[in-house]
Amino acid sequence: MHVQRAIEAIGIPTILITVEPEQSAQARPPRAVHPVNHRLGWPVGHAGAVEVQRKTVEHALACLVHPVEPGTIRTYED
Amino acid sequence: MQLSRRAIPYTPFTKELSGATIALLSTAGVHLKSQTPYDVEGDSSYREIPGDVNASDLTVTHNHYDTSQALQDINCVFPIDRLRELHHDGVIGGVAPMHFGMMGYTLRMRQVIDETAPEIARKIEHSPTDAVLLTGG
Repeated sequence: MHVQRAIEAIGIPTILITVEPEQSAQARPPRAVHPVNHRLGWPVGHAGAVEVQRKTVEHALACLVHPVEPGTIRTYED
Repeated sequence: MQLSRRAIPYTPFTKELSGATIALLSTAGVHLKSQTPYDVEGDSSYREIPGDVNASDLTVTHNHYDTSQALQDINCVFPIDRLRELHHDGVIGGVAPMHFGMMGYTLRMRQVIDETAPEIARKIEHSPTDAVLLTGG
């Protein structure tokens, strides 16, 4: 998304959690992760699924620490 | 210099995660219940969400996805409580004082590129934020 690119361009690292990887790829995100079991409306996890939500956030943040080539959308399965 | 669409801006993450302050930005239509809702026909504006917000004071306005899960638990699209827990447990260094909501659907893309996105980026640059976690709908 354009705002992600703008934030990254100004010097702040970003990570996107996306459930629409094809659409996200068109915007060429600096870093992105796709939780493959999640759907539109609950990209981080179902309502009340605290552990799943936490693991999704932790996994996304780990992608900041362990970078891959910019533009790569990594998949993640919980 | 205008960045080509084919180019990908990239800033290395050089801090320890345990010392990093994280902000959220969601395009799922998140906003405070007290703020003006987004125009579901298309909206290029954004909402500032304070870091000490109570999750129950947040809602979503969007009609391009099923919002029922997010209306039950905003953390489905805006994991503010999960960030606080990670801070409490020492996984991250802090929760940023300001987060951002957008609707992610607009017919005025040029306005987003030229105005909204740079404005949000500047606000984040001038706040104590080391990295941003973004979520869609």
